[in-house]
Amino acid sequence: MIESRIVSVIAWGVVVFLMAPLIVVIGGSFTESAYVAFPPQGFSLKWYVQLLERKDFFTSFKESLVIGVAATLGAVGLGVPAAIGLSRGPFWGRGFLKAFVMSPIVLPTVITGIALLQFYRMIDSALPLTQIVIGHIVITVPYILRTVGAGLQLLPPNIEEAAESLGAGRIRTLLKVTLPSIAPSVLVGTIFVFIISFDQVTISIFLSSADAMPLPIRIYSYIEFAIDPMVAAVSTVLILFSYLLVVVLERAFGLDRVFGGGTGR
Amino acid sequence: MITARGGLELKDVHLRYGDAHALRGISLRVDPGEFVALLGPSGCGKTTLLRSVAGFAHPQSGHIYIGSKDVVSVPPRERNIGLVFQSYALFPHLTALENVCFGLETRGVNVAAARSRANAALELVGLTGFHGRRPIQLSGGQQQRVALARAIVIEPDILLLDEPLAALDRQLRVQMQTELKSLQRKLGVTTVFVTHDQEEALAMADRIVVMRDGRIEQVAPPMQLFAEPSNAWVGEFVGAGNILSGEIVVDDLGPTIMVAPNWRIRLPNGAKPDAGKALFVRAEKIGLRAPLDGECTLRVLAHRFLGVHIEVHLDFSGGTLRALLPPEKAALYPPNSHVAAVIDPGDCRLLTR
Repeated sequence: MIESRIVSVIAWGVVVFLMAPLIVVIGGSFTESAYVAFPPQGFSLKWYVQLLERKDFFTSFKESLVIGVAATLGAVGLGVPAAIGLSRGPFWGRGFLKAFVMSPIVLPTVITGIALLQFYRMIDSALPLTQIVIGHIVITVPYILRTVGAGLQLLPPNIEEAAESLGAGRIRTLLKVTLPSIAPSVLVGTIFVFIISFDQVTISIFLSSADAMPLPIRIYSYIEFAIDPMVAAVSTVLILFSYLLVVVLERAFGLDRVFGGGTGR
Repeated sequence: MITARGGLELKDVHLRYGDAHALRGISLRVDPGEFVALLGPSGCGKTTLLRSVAGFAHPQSGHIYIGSKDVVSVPPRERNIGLVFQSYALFPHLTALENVCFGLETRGVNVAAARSRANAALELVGLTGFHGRRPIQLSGGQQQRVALARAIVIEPDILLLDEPLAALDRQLRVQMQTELKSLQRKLGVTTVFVTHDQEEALAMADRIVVMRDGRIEQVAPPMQLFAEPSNAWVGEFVGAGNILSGEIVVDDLGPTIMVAPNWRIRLPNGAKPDAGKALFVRAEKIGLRAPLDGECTLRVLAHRFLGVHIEVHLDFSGGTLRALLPPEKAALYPPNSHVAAVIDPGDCRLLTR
């Protein structure tokens, strides 16, 4: 009895700790005052109206979405085949290759950012959005390798041999057996990658410019000059956006299944 | 579905993994419709042999015929084999029915026909009412049945089973042994079964292939294997056999083997008294009694209760013995007592060491 009460107190403590900042931000966005105040002073939607008039924020939001989707496609497209390849028996250079593709997760992101910046300068790149997308792919591929690698390890041994014994060639085995079996872990990886990209500051700050400025960088540069409740309004919109994303995923796949390791035996 | 299909023949198959010689010249003939068990300790090459037949292991030399076709260079998907793994290897994202349909789809069977054949196969293995479940929602025994249905639905020329019952608990395993055997009879499919459980091999196989270190030690029907092991190692490995060694001494009445200074056992009739041979006698053929003066005595080390019998472990100056006795007999000779062993030469065989 007492034990379960202690547990529930701790659990609620964690919930409050996590939720409190969100509540402050959401509440603060409705204030009438010219600064973020909590509890809000009066009730007003003027900061949302002001946000709607800021074309630059809207453009940045669209850019973040484009970057997020492109980076996700890129990281999944590279990471899934790499994970399958690296899971196949020992071959020459496997250890090195694995360490190499995993390295962005170990290196401080700042260093990756500086290195990419220098590299783009050297080759005189003039593709602002693409530069950021590539940067995001580099740092998110390891997450795909991790989740998909774990998914592959959880598969029953010999399922590919079973498929082959039943008359399936390599491509059919890959498309009908291997990939569908690891689909849940690919989905988890995909969600991670999109969130990391959408939320990415460190890499983006080195690579963004007037031509391509993802939303987190836009917010960051805005608050360098002014901290007004419009920032709270943007944040509230983002919170709502994430919430909707989770609801959609939950409806489509069931997050319990996705994060609960739907590939178990 | 009842068809007499081709048999299997292996001719001098050699396979090495680097320095390790996994198969050292395996020749074996399995008749159409026959059920053969490959039995041996782990690392003896039995699984490698099965994987060679399936096409997942690649012998450096030798021939493997399925029916009359040499399949050594044929990829697994074209060998028309049914394969059941110890892990079952079911496709986790497919339902039981879809798992069974898989091999039919790759063969271009249309969906409706595939479904009806898969249903028939699932019924045949005794699994009805679980068609829409995924492997994770099935028990071990049910998964086993799906794996079996998936392997037989394609009407394979050869059915290969790699320790398929090893993961089941004992009661279910015994039940599955019986079912699997009668299913194999019904289908008449040539079957090769890998196991390290000799009881399983004895219960199911028409013939047992005993393997050791990449070689075949003996091929025989279960009862013959049990009664007439071809050498001392097989005698010890299959069942509770005792091996007694000693110098061969010929006296007035004929050849004897001196297993201890004061214990000679007469050789069975017709046995050739060569050197390098040992006497083989089954544990249940050894009788015990109170020792006489001057006779070789054995000390009872321990009793091991096996249900119907008690296995009595004995040691003496010439080695150790195991005797299987009914409990009331064993009770006469508790641990640390001294006894004499009675061995009838007619129950013995002289085997190569």
